[in-house]
Amino acid sequence: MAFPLYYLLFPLAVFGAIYAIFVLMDLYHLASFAEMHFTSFVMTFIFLAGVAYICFWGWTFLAPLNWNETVTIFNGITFNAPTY
Amino acid sequence: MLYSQVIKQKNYEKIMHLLRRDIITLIPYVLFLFLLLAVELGIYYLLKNLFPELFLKNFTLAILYLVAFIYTLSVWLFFYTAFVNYFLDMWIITNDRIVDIRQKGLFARVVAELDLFRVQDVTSEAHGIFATMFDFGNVYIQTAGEQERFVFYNIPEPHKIREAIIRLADEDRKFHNADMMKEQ
Repeated sequence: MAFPLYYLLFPLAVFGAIYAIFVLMDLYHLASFAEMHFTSFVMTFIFLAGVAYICFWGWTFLAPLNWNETVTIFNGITFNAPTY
Repeated sequence: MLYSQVIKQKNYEKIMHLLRRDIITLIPYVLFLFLLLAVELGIYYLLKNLFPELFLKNFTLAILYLVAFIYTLSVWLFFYTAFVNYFLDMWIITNDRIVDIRQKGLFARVVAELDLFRVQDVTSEAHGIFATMFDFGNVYIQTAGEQERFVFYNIPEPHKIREAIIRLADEDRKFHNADMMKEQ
């Protein structure tokens, strides 16, 4: 089976979408059920700064890879019916 | 949103105490965060030393980096969600009632309230070395009815809060008795 390496980025996009939903839910809860407070503001700022930092490092590591390379897996495996 | 809106404050009502778990109860989450990040770093060095060929192929390198990226973001979100849960769990004591607001994960929220004049028995406890040192603990509030008791978990200064609740309940009871006398 062969596929281009960028296929691996599709699950990452799905993860990104789910992640964004969770973050928005957290922010919605903070905005709807609590007063704006210095602690919550600082923690949200640290969290978003952390996400930006992790994404920056993720990009730094992932960008140089050749995502157009074709990957072949399970190539040598053949399934033969048993002979008696 | 203002807390007065959260509890739908009545016009004669005043918020006397707003309680959350003691900030010290977040420390285990911070330690857990560091542990999870240390595990990631440990696995990285382990793989680098035991299977260096994994870091030479484009395909395996892509998988390793993607897994590490997703893992780090998830751990970071787990920590933030723990903070949001901590911040949204609160107990509001007014001069008329006690409101218990619990955030259970991201998609569940429980709000319960109790009239102060129904309070019959209040118990406070600080259990263990850390609770005693940093003065946090639980407060249990029992009412006359069959309603399950209210529990304030790991709040700062539990003994002072117990005294405050008893005092407020007495005042509210006097107010209600006077009201009933007027009606008769």
